[in-house]
Amino acid sequence: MLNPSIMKILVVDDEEDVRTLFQQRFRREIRAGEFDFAFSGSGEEALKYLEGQDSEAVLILSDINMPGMSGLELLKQIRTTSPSAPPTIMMITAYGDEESHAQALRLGANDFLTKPLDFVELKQKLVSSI
Amino acid sequence: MKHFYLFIILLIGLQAQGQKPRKFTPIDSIPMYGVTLSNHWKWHAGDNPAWAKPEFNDSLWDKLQVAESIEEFPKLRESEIAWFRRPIQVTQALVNKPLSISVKQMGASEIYLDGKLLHKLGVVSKNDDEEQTKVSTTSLPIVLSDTNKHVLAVRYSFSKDNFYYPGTNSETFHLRVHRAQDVGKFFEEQANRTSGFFYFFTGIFLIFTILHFSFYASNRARKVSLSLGLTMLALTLAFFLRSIESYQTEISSKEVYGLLSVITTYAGVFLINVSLYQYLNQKFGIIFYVQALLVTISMFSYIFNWDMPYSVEAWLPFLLLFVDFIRVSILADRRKDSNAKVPIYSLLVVAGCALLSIIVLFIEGTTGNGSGSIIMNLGIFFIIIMFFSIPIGLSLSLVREYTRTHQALSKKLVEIEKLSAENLAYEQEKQQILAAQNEILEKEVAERTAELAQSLQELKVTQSQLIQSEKLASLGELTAGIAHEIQNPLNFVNNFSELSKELIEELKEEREKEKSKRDEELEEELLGDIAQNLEKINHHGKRASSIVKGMLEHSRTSSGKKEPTDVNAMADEYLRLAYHGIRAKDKSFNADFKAILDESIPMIQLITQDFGRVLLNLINNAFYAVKDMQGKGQVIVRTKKLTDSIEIRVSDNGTGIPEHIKAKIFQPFFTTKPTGQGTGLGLSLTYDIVTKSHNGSIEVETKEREGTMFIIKLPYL
Repeated sequence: MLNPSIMKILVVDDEEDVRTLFQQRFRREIRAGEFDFAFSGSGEEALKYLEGQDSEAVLILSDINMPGMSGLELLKQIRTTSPSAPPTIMMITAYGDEESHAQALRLGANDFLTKPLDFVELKQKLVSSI
Repeated sequence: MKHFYLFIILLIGLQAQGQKPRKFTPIDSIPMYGVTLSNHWKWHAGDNPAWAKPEFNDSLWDKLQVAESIEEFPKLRESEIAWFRRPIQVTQALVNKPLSISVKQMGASEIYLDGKLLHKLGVVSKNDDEEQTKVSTTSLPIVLSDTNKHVLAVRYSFSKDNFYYPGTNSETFHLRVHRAQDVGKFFEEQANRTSGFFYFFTGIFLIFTILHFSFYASNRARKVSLSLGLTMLALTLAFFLRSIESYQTEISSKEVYGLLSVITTYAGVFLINVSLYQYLNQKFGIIFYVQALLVTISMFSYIFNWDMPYSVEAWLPFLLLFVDFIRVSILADRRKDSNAKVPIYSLLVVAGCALLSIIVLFIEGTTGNGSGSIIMNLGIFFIIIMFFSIPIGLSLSLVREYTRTHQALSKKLVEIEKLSAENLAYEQEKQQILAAQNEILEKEVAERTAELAQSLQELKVTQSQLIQSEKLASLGELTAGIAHEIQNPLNFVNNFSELSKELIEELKEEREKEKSKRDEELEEELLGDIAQNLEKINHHGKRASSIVKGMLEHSRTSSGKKEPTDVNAMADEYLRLAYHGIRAKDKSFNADFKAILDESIPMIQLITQDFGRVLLNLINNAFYAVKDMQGKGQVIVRTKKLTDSIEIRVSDNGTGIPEHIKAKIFQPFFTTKPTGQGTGLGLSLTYDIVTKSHNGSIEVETKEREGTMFIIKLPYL
């Protein structure tokens, strides 16, 4: 919190083990205080979380295919409700299809990643965007 | 007719015409049949015993023809009692010879010879109560002892109480003289002839009466039989009454029978005409009714003894009847009536007989041999034949017609027998043909049945193949979903195993450090993470393997074994699988889906593979219905516990099912998908699995462009 370079990264995925996975993958960075992760299990949960984080700069990593509110829906909501402080949003999907890629970009996604995630690449992207 | 009839009666009665000597002559010889004393009678009204005396002078008395009807003597009728007188004289040849007189009379009489009472016939009196009339002929002995003139005196009474009809033929007083030795023979012959004549015809007409009535009884439609029967009955009665009349001793009863006989004779004659009309199908026209009137008038003129100019009443109606008889016959002949000839033949017989009888009677008249002669009898015979040829000719004609009919029927019968024999033969032939055709048909049926059995077998094979292909199709739909579902756990497995490798590397590095520099806390943390990761790897590995297992189960043939199943878990799993399956095939597909699950529902006994197929099918269909809604589509699977069953609803807000195909959706091979994309067995199998295998029910609620909801109800055991 005290370090202004530390950015909150919000991971939105309905798979619970994603939290454990991210915590371990970015163990060194977390320990070094480079990244600060938060996790939400659904689009709705993510929006609730974002309400309490209004001024803080956030990077969002969201899965697209989720029951209930989909990742694209979440993207759309964020882009329409908080245009003043636009966070960086990266969409992740298991289906690397062109259409959802294009749709995600159209809705204002900053990046588009496909599963399985290449964590080395992700790390670089995160670093560069911070 | 009347004349003929009278003629016969007169002939029978031997009213001799030829003997009418104007001058009184003594009787010199008496023929076999006697001598009638009809002339030289004088009479006087009143009663005086002195009038019996031979010396009484009767020159002032009126003359009288006693052998006439009393209707001819109004004065006699008026006086009620009177005396007749006549001289009687024989030649030497007859002196002291036993003679006999026979009398026929209307009333009662006392016969005196030369003032001496000879015989009493009945009781003579003016008083009705005392008078006893006697009409029958009696033979009375008489002997004249010399050739002098003697006087026959008759005291005669005929009181008002006696009935007679004016036209009667009964003579007032008829006296005949016979030789005594002849009288027995005379009476015998007369009786024989009279009774023979009357009973012969009574019998003949009675037979025809019975015959025609029998015809009528057997065939009511033939009215001619009835009228001929009535004709014959009338003629029977006419003769029978006549014969009865001849036995009567009382004048009134004799007259009644006589009158009835006249009426029945007329009726019979007229009925002949009626029968002819009916026999020849002639309509009763004006001529007929005129004749009826004329015959009736004729009858009354007879009974009441009316005299008309030229005695037209006696011959005209009968002549007209004859003419009409001919007319009707000719008309019938023109109509080609087969019966028309018969009356004409009868008429020819009549004419022939009339001619013959006239010739014969002319000969008789000129030779004058009297009633016993052969010629006379021949004449009578011809007249009889003439008189009866018409009614009997009609009868015989009718009989002939019946015979013809009978013969025709016999012929027809033979024809019918022949025809029925032919028919039978034909029937048998038909039967044989039918039997042959039946055999062929049975053979064909057997062949077709075999073919059908073959087809059925093939169809069964095809059906099972189709069911298999339906399973494979749904498996195909699953595969993509499964692949995606497996991708996630495999990612975790890969990630966590890679991480664990890193963690172990890090732990090794830490361990290689000097003991003082080693961060034990970190080491513990790393070991904890590794353990946790292994657990995660294990978890996700199992997750993947369970998905694979489910897939294999889905494709495997159903074991048909029910096992307790968590329907909620199943619904959730298949909802996901279906969604990802579609997503895998169609990347652009997007739809919302959710499962609203009632946690209180119990475990249900289900054939899991089969029921999984049901859920997958319904959910797939639901997604298919919302595929074109650009993400606005929503599929909801909802479970709910009811009192004795659980309810599973699979609903979408998609296209809905049009009303006209709603009834067909559970039919096998019905599909709305393009050719090759659906087998049309999905919902059919679903229906079978729910209703047959699980005793449940499945219903559909749908509205076009609003959505569809399938509702399954399963009873829990």
